[in-house]
Amino acid sequence: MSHQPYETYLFSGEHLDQDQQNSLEAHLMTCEGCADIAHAMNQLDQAFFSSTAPSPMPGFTDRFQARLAAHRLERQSRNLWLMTIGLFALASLIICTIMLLHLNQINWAYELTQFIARTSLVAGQIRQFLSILKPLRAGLPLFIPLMWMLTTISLAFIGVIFATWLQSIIRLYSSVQERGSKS
Amino acid sequence: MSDNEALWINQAIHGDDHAFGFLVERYQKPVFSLCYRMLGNSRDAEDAAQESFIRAYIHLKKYDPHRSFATWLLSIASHYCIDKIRKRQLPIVSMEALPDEIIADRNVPNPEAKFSEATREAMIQDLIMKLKPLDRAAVILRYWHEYSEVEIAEALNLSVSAVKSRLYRARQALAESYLALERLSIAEERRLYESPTL
Repeated sequence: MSHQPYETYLFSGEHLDQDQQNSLEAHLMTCEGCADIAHAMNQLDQAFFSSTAPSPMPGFTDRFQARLAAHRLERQSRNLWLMTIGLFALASLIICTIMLLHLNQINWAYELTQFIARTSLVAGQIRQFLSILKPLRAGLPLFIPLMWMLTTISLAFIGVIFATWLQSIIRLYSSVQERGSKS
Repeated sequence: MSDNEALWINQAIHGDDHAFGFLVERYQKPVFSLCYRMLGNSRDAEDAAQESFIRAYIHLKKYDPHRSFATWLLSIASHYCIDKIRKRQLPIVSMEALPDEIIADRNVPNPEAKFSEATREAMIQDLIMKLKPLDRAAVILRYWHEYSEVEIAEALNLSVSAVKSRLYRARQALAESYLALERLSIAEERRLYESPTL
């Protein structure tokens, strides 16, 4: 027995006109298989439409706001990392390009030794400086925060550098003037 | 779309979290319900619904105001749930709603009716979970959100004919599963009441 178009009528879920409805009903009287399907579809439709939609637990919006804040923090942190990596990559690229451009002029062994020696020297000086600061820090009143101390020291250091630079400019200028007056 | 809604969307686009909070308040139930029907348990549904709102917030600038906001939001939730199901690649069974776990609570008024309702809910969820993710989404939008085939097509990025064919196939599968379940239950009942063999 052919079950078409009756199966299509049952499964399509579309509205049937009167002729289609009559022909389907006549078929269902004689076909047990299609009658079972019609019964199943009726039961399912009833069950679906009478089924209640589940609701979230109270406080969903508050949980969302908290999650959004956490998501933002995570994204900011990720962006910061990406920016750092990007800057590092850019700096490396620039250094590599400069090195490649002066490849023939560079004595690699000498430069490397010089770099290690200079780094060790600077590290040693910083260590000495910190060892001088240690008793000073202990003698200073406790209410002076460390950041203030560091800021003051940095400003003093910048001031010394600036004064030295200014002095060298003045000397250079005066020597140029002297040469001019002699000639 | 109501005027309030358009205003909240506009404010949220400009970074007003509070305005987006109103949208979350309004649409939390349909989004959660969709996620629950798709994933089968409250914990995953909560997580999926929250994530869907986060995605909506991030991509709010891409929202076309000529479209329905609800459809756009449910589209995000549907795709998120479909991706989640595909990533699991495991058969999904509703752990909260297994028929064996349902016990009538004698403390509530009319416990038999509650029990019967819970059994029916579990049966529906069980049947839904047997469908493929995209077919499941189409059925959920059709039955519980009363979407037309055109709206389902819009939400799931499918053609209308594809939606029709998916709904047809899903109904066929649901009817077969229902009949199989009914036959099993009749057989079980007969086995319980038949006279023992000597």
